[in-house]
Amino acid sequence: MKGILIRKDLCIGCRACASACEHGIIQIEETKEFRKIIVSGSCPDECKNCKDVCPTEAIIGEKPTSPQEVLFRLTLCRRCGMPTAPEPMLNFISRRMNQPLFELDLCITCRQQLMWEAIRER
Amino acid sequence: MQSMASWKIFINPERCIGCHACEMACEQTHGGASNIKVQCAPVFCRHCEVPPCITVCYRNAIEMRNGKILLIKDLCTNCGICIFACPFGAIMTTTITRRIEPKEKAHRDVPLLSRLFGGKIFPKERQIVLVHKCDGCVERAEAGVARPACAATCPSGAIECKDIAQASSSKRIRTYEVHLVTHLTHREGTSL
Amino acid sequence: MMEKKNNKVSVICPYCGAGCRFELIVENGKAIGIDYEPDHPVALGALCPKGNSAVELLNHPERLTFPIMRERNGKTRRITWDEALQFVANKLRQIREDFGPDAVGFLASAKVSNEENYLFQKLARLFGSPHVDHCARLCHSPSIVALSRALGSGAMTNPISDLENSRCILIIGSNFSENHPIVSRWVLNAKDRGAFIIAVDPRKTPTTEIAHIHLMIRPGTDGILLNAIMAQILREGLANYDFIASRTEGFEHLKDKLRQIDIIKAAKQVGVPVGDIVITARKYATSPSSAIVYCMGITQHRYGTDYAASCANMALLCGHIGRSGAGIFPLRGQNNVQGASDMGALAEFLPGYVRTDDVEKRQNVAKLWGCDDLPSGGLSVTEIIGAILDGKIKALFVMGENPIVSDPCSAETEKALSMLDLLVVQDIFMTETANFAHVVLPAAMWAEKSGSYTNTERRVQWSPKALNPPNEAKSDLWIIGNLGKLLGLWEIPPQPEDILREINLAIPFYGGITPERIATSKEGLIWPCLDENHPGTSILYSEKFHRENGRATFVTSEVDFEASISHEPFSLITGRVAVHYNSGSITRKLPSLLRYTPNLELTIHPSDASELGIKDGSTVLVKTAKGTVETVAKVSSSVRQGSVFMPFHFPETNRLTPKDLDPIARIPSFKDAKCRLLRKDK
Repeated sequence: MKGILIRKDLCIGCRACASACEHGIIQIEETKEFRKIIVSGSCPDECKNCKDVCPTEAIIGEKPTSPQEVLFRLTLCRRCGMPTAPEPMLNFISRRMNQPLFELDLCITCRQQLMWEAIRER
Repeated sequence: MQSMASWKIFINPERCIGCHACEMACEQTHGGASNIKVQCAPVFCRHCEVPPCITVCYRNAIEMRNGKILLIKDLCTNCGICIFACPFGAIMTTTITRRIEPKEKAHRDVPLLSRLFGGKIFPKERQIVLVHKCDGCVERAEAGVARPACAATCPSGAIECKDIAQASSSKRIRTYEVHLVTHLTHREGTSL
Repeated sequence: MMEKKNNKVSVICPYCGAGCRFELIVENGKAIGIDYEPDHPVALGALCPKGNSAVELLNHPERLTFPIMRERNGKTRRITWDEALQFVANKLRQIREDFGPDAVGFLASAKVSNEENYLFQKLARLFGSPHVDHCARLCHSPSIVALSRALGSGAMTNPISDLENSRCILIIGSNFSENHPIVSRWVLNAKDRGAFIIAVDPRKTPTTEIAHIHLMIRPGTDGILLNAIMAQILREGLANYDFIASRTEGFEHLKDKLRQIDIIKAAKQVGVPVGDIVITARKYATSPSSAIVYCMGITQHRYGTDYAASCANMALLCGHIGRSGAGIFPLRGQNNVQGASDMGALAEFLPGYVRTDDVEKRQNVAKLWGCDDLPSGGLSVTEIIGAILDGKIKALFVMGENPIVSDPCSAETEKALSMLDLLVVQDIFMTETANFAHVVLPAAMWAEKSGSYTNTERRVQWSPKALNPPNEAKSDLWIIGNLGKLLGLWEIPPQPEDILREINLAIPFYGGITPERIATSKEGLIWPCLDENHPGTSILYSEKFHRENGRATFVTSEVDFEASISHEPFSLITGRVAVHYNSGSITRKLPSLLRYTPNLELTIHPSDASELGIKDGSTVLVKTAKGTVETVAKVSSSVRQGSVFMPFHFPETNRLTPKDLDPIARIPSFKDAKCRLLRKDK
């Protein structure tokens, strides 16, 4: 048995590790304000799933079992106030797309609605 | 039958009557999860020429094939990053519940357990948020059916399948494209 | 050709009267998917959300799959078909002996095939009862009465797709974008080609959004409005006098009436700007080809017959009938309500609209059936309930209908059904009505049997059997056929093809619609189709009308329309929403549809809501003379101030509606009931 540690300085708060963890050790809890990534125990030696999928290589091994919580505040949609994604994740997108961060502060529903409101207004 | 490369799906929002037939047709064609969301008119992947989703995908799990943007399930980690890269909100999520097999359960700390799971020691299930999007009805095309399910079912003719050459010459389509791009993201290449 | 190819069977949609066709994908006897038929003329393969739910419907776990007997104490038990049919036959005979054949009523179904409806009304009449009717009474009976009188036939005059050829479309009392979604396609095509679209509706709907102008009229003022529009057409010299002279009669009487109309006063009563009436008049009259599309907003009124007649008058006044793009489009709501009516499953009609009080013609039908005469003087659906309460009717056989939810004034319907000595319900689910039945017979769904269905365009299409019914469920044809045999009415329960051949003989305008011709044709045949060589008739009245002298007649109403102006506040308007179907007995069971409209809501205008202290989402009490119901408020300016709207797909709604019948067509006034609203405090 071994443990994993999520480096808070590298983690962007996406869902890759939780989706990949077949053992249910990494779970995500989400409220209107926060996303919490919870590591609840130690893992089988052979399993590398979470490390393989992490976009920023933020998961490291070797440390012994220790429950961990990584907390992110969810950026709120500038149009409707509903939660969107953790800011580090939006930063990740902003950097890769070479796009200002403020343009990304829209939730999915607002993006969908804006798509057609823009046209119908005319 | 038109080959996949030559056609594109166009939506005329003024024709949309908000009936949700497209969502149901898409859902039935894609194993129970619709790639379309109707928000005063249907929203789904525009198969952009310069797709933001491909730019951010760190696993190269999204690729362009025959003019269509495809999400490759085997490579996708369901991280959800592409969802926020798409200016149209066209990438969808569906939450499913998967069982955790007993032999896979690993050792856990008890205090954290009782806090998290209300006393239940070993969780039997976990939630996965699956990421999916329009695939241009690839399977229908391969089976020789000309139109994607949404275009085939749309009662009012709001979703149309057009030859790209024919479509780009249509004045109305060009106007929508320009306006949308200016309003939302100031980016070129994201197309309607 | 329509044979099975790779488990794909081409069937007709079981929901509305549009009559779309789609492919059902069947594997190992189970429906697993659908695909679209792009060559089909009605919608080019398009399918609305309800049509898309077909697989979920066919596989529903709550299907009735064996006959059930309900004892006096309310307990139910499973019985065999032999037991069930013997019991019903014996009981019917007993009641006939004790009380006479008039004591038995039969409700046919707007959803089963032509062959099944034909056999059903034949059974009823050979049994001796004149009381055969069905839910057309609640929707287009005014169209049948008024249009037959004016034009010779009650049916829609042109195909749905022909709407794209109109240059002006007047939509009055129809919300086809929700209830006949594929009609939107053709109307939008017309609009793209430059047609002017006018919508008349007390509510804002997805349909009114399509129109260039929307006359948001006060409920109950359709008659006043139509007369005002016609008066204006006359005044501006825009009537088609050539047409009137050569093809109609009775104009003078209408002209005198219209001359007296003051359109400024009318506009005030209707609640629309005078300018809108003038524009409508000019656009409709002067366009090269204009269409009137109407539905429940015209028919479901105290004077529904007169309103429908006014629609005919308007088309005749301007000569907009009998050619492409010009006609009257009463949109039939159910997949086979046109067929059920054609087959004579109506109190005053035998097959082919032979009047039951026309002795000579009635006796001809009797002769075809091997007897001397047939009963007449039957009661309609709406009157049958009253007759049960009066003790005159003791037994009711209900096939594929749900009167507890569809009829007005549910409390009365419930009381009546509880009084019956025998209530038999033949259906696919345990509906609200089936819960009252002594015997419940499990019926097959449309794709589990073969038969022909007639859509709103008069198009008769064959829908083949694609899979077997579950367990012991049987086709309605099998049930009626075997019941008839037990009642001694015929020797052998007939097959659908045999019945269609008899229909070819009994109904002249179905003369050439043979099984051979339509079983091999995806688009079917449009009646009148007089013989085997006749190609069918897409557009009616191009040469002459179906009245005796070939002319149409104007129908001048003596009714004082001012008496029907609504009772705002509050006028309760009942109607439909896109994802549900009629009594909701099917769609409320389908999660893929129910999720979009899971609950009953009352739509109320923001000003009214704030005056009554009602918030969006809060509970309200709705009171009418017939009952009180609790529901949730939805605040929206899609209704007028003083009006509220409730869909009738939920059983609560018709607890509120009064009978208030149109005197001629006997249709209830579902579109305008006086009600009070109260905020329900916790």
